[in-house]
Amino acid sequence: MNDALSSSPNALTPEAAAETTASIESTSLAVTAFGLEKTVVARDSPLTILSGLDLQIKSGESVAIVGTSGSGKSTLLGILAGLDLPTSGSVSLARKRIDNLDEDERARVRGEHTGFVFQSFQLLSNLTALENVMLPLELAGVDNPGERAKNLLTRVGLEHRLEHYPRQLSGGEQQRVAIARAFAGEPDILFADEPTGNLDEKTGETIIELLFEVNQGSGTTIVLVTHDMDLARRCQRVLKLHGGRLEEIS
Amino acid sequence: MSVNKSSKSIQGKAVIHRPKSTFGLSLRFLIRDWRSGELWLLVAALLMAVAVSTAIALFSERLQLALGRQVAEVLGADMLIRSPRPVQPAILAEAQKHGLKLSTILEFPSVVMAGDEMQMVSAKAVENNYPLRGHIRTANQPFAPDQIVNDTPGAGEAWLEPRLFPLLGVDIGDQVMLGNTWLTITRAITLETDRGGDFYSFSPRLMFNMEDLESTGIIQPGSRVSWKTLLAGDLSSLEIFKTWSKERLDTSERLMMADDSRRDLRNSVVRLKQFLGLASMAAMLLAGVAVAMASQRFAERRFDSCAVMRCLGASRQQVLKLLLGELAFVALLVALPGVAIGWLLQEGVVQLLKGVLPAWLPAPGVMPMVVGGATGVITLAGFGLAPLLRLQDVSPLRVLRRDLSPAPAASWLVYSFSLMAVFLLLWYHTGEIVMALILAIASSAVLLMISLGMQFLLNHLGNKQRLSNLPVFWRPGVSRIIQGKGKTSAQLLAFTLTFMAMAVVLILRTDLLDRWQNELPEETPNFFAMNIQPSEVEAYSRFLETSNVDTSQLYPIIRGRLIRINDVPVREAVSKEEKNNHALNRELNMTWSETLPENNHLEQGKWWAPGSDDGLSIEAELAQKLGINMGDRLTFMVSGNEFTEAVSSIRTVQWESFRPNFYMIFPEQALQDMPATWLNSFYLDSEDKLLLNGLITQFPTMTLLDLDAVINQVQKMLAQSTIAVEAMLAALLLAGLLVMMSVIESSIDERLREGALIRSLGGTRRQLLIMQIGEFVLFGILAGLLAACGTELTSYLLNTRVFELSWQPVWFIWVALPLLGAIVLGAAGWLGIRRVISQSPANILKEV
Repeated sequence: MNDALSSSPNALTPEAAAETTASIESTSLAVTAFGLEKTVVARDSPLTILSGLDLQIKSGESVAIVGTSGSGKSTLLGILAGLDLPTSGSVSLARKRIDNLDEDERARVRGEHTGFVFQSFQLLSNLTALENVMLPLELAGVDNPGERAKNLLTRVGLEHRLEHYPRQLSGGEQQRVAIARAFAGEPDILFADEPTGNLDEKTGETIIELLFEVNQGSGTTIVLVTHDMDLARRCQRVLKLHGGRLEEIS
Repeated sequence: MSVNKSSKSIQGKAVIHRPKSTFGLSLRFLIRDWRSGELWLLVAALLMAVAVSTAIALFSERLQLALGRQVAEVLGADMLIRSPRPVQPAILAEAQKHGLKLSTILEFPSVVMAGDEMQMVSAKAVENNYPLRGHIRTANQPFAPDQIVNDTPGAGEAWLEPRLFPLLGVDIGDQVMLGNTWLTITRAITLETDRGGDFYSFSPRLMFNMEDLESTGIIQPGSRVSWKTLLAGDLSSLEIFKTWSKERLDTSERLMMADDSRRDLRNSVVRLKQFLGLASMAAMLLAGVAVAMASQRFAERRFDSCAVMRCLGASRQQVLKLLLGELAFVALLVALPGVAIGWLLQEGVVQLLKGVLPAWLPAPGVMPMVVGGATGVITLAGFGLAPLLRLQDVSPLRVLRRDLSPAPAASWLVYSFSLMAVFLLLWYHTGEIVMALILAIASSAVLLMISLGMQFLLNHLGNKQRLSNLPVFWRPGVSRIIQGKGKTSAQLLAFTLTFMAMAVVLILRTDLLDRWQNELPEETPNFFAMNIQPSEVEAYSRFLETSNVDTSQLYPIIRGRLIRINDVPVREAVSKEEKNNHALNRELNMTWSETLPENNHLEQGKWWAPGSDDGLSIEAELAQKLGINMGDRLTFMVSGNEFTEAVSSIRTVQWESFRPNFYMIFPEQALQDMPATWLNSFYLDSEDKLLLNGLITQFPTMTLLDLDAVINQVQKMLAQSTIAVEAMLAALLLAGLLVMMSVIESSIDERLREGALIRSLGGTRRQLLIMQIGEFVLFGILAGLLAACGTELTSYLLNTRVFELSWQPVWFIWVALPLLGAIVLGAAGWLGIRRVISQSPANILKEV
């Protein structure tokens, strides 16, 4: 497992990282990052969030990234998922280097390979549960999106809530809809940002059970950001983000 | 479960991604948004834009056509060709080809005999379909009650004006001799609606049938006659024919539209059209503002969904196409019901006002409905596009960081889009480019004032230290105003424009009505007495004085031609376009007066001192057309004698006053030796009309012209115009209220969240009310003050540049508008915030 992870900050220059990325594209790695740096300007002074971070995640693996509040977990998730760009370094997703793509090209990669579950659910308030799950399928131009979405909602136990709007659902139910939506496009990689952060302990557990259950047998890679160690331990690997770098803790 | 795959590899996927047309998806989005209630505000704003503009366009068109028809009655036709000979046959054939109705009239002065009596008459031969517009009234006996008739004198018959009966000593059934033929008098003719122009030369009327013309033997080559070919038909055919004939008519053939015939009627109709145009413009402006605010709210509520869609793989272009597709559907779907509502609205107004509107209102045409429908699309594109274009810039990272909103659309982009849309709409709707420009300039001025005001606020209150000195319940509001600079400006602009549009229309309505009222006060002179001989002036004045008749000044009339300007023959001295000016081709009625006549106003120069013998005062419009300036030397020919005077003053004349008006006025000494007859006007109410018999008997050579018909026509039109103006104003107020609603709704989410938070932190209802209502009241006062500035600027420009009305500041609005703003917005704020008080904060926080 250690060979899939290197947290040495100065191990690679961006050029070397790009070469390395290319060389590993033939292997079965779902996510790779080399020499990731992320610096933002806050109150007129630069703030380094990620500093020379390297990461490799194999296909089908489940990885939890933990860390204290403000350690940069969500920033890292955003960069790995192609929602944001690093200040320097390279990122590959599903064997495609994405840090040099423009936003629309990254959107295409996301649409084809990723699914998302968020702490705040991010369901569209003007769509019913069913329509929320149908959305990624419709955007991708999939036939029969309604049928597929119904099956997924049945799978997460919401077959009786298909026509409800998010505001008519409890937090746990909303997250179930989000999980169904995340799996609708049969993603290669699922990114989850604090998926239980807005839920009570019991509901949170149920949701995590569900997440792994739905994933069972699908071979989807899961990258999960959380500060909940119990949840993190459900994953095959747990990495801690500290001082802008990752270290493996289990 | 569909996602159940036995083994997952990156290479193989069960879900196939392929690009698909966004058409169907846009439609589905539309249906979903409609169902969830997200679209109602935008749909309501657009519906209002389309319905109000359709209603106003339809109503204006119908009313303008109807008024045009009323003006046409004064001409007896929609258009006429006046010529000294019959009109060229090719021209008549072309008119017939376009489906225009034709009728020919011949007018000529002649002497009529009955027994031993002889009298000069103005004879008029008419065809059986005369008049094409308007009507004739006749009575069975002279001075008896009359009625409208739909026929004309038959062959061998003559209809005489009542005053001819005593002059000739005849009765109904007697015969008169016109030229070589005898005609039997069958009726007394009391009114021809087309007897409007050129009344200074009128002799009493004798009307007969065109079939008898030849037998009179009067018309010989060289006879002084006037042919009139009346034309009537639909507007488009008339326009085509007018354009076609322009190049083909010879110099002696003069084409006249109804508008050319009477300046008094024309001015009223032009002003009414302009006012209707202004009301439409104000409504358009309000509709645009409502759509802009609704679009902004629609866009802001889409930030999260766009971020999620981008996160799920939608490209920028795909998101944009989806939204634009959805909006295009909205515009298309709203257009039809909007037009239908607009049609119903105007029909409702027409039904409500049936008693006072013109009896003949043409059916609404298709064009106003197309214009109304197109208004929806243009307002949405012009006002709504800029806020919606922001959506393509929503970062997908917003799913993780909610604070990431797209940069606000550049102000210049939003406002230039909107201003362009306003200008195009206004111009398109009304064809009044000056008015469209004035409104666009005033709106820009308001925008500039708001920007400067916001900058001032930022400089003086932007500092956190100062902000924290404010009472706690004022802080969120003031902070929101300062921080959301762009949004605050937009809302302030919306409120200001709403108040401004309503105030401008209201003030102009009052000014116009006052003006109309002043033009035609009670006891406007309704009779003109002409051809009073110098020897009769004293007796005539005494007669009116002893009869207690209210009269105007008596003026001498000297007929003469303008022949040279600064010693250059007049046709060479004027511009090419003015060579055919009517004033150059006929004798002008000139007068002398020692004082400036009432209803005249000196523009340049001074009035002469009594006893002076040089100088001349010319009417301003004619001077401008002929290029005559102060000091220019004008040479006239009167009864074969030439004389020259220099222009010593230029004056404007109130043509609508129904008092004697003149192009040229001289000092008494300059004209006193020229041959003159005298003229004045006076008012007689219907009960005193018997006095006329006495007048006619005592002064048999005098010509009396009854203007009651024309005055009644103008008064009727003014009454109808007033009603129309008020109906427009009501539609505008409705539009204004809808704008307010949409602005408040567009900011309500933020206020609800804030209110719910304050309540959950322990804020009381009262504190919350003070906070929210206070902010609205502050907004209302500011918007009211800005609107007062904008209103003064707009009404100044409109009054002086378009409506030719005098202007003075309206101090009242400086108090009324801020007060109204505070009350209306305060009440609206209370209505909006009621939900925070009546619902649990938790519910609200969950919903918004």
